[in-house]
Amino acid sequence: MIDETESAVDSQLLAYVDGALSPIERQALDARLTSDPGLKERVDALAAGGRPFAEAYDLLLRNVPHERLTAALDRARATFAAGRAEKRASAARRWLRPMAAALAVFLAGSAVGLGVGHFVVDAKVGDQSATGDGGWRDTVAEYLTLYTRDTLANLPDDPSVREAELKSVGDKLAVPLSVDKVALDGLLLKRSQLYNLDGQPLAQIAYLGPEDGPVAFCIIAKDDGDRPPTFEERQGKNIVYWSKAGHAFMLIGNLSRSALETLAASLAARVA
Amino acid sequence: MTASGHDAVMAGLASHLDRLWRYGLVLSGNRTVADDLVQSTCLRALERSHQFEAGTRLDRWLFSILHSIWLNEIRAARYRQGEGLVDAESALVFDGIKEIETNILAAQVLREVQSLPEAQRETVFLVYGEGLTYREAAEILAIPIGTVMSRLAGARLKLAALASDETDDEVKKRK
Repeated sequence: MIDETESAVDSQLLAYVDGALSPIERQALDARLTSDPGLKERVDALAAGGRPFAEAYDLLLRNVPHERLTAALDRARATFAAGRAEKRASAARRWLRPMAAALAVFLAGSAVGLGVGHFVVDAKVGDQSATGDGGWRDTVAEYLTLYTRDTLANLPDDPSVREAELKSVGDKLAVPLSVDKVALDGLLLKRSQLYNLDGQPLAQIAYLGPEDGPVAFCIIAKDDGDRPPTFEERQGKNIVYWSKAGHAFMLIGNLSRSALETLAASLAARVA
Repeated sequence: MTASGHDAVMAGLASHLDRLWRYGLVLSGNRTVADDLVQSTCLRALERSHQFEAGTRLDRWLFSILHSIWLNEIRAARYRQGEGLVDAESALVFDGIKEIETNILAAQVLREVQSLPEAQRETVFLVYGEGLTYREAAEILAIPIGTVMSRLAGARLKLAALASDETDDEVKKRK
C-alpha cells in the first residue's frame, strides 16, 4: 500500500507522470528510477491512475443545455441592470439633498454680494460606515458616477472665484489650498465645494479633462497615519488615494491608471 | 482600464457558459444546481466586472467566482439544510446525456472521477479536464500549489486502486 503523503517526492513523481518536469529534471528522475524499485513502484501506481480525462469530460460538454444557459445569462443581466438602476437612484437621493442645499446657500450668498465661500452644508449624508476605511471613497465614487461633462462644462471660469472657493474649502479642512497647489496639467479646474459626510467636512475639487471628462480631488479630515498613494477601482472609476498629516486624499476619474498616478503624485507633493 | 474590463466581461460571458456549466456539474453532480451556479456566476461577474483586468483570462476569473459561490453559498446552504454533500457517483450527472450508451469508456471514466472526494474531483477536473497548470488551478481554488499536487496524486492512487480491483474481479470471474 502506498502512503498518500504530501511529500515533495510525491509532487515530483506526479509532475513526472504528468509530463510537467523540465527535461533536466526528467532525466535526473529517470536515472533514479532505474536504481530505486520503491520509487518506480510509486510512479507506476500514479501512472495507473491515469485516464483519458479530457475525452470523458468532453462528453459533458456535448450535452450542455444551451437554451437554459442563455436564459440564465439573460436573467443575470436583468438582475444586474435592475440593481444598478436602484443604486443610481439611491446615490442620487443621497446627494441631491445636500446639493440642493448647497445651491441655495450659494444663491443666497451671491444675492447679498458675499460670493462664494459658504458652501458648508449641514445635511447628513451617507450611512454610518461612510467615513470608515474606504467607505468615504466609495461614497465619493458613487457620487461621481452621476457626473457628466455637462455637469461642469458650463461653470464660468473665473480665477478669482476659484481662489475664493479653494480658500474657503481649505480653511474648513485646515489644509492650505490655492490654485497653484491644486492645478493639474491638462485638466481645467472647474469648482471647489464642501460637503458634509457624517458630520465631517469633505472637500471636492472638480476638474474637467478634454478627453476623460470629470476628475475630482477630494479631501477629508481622517487620521489614518501617513499612507503613500495607492491605486484602486471603485464604482467603475480609477482612484489613487493617500493620507498625510491627519487628512485622507483621493483623486478619481476615468483617466488611465498611469495618468492618474502621475497627477496624484504631483498633488501629494503640493498639498498637505 | 476599468471600462474595458467591464466591456470584456459583458462581451465575453456568453462564450464561457458551456464550460462554466460543466464545472458546476462536476462540482454538484446535479444539472439544475449547475444551471443555478452559471446564473449566479454571471451575476457576480457583472457586479464585479470593474475588478476584472482586461487582457487577462476571463475564463479563469469566472471559474474562481463559480468555485467560491459553490464553496461559500450553495454547498454551505446544503450543509445547513442537512442535505449533506452530493454523493459522488451521482446518477444525475448522466441524466440526459445521450452518448453515454455509446461511449462506454468515457462514461466509465466519468463515473470513476465523480466517485472521488469533492476536493480531488474538482482538482482533477481543472488540471486534467480543463488543462490548467498546477499553479492556475491553485489560484482558482485559492490553495497552495502543493495541495493541488497532493490532491492529484491522491486521486490518481485512488483511480489506480479502482483499476486493480476491477482487474482482480475479472481474474476471479475467469477462474
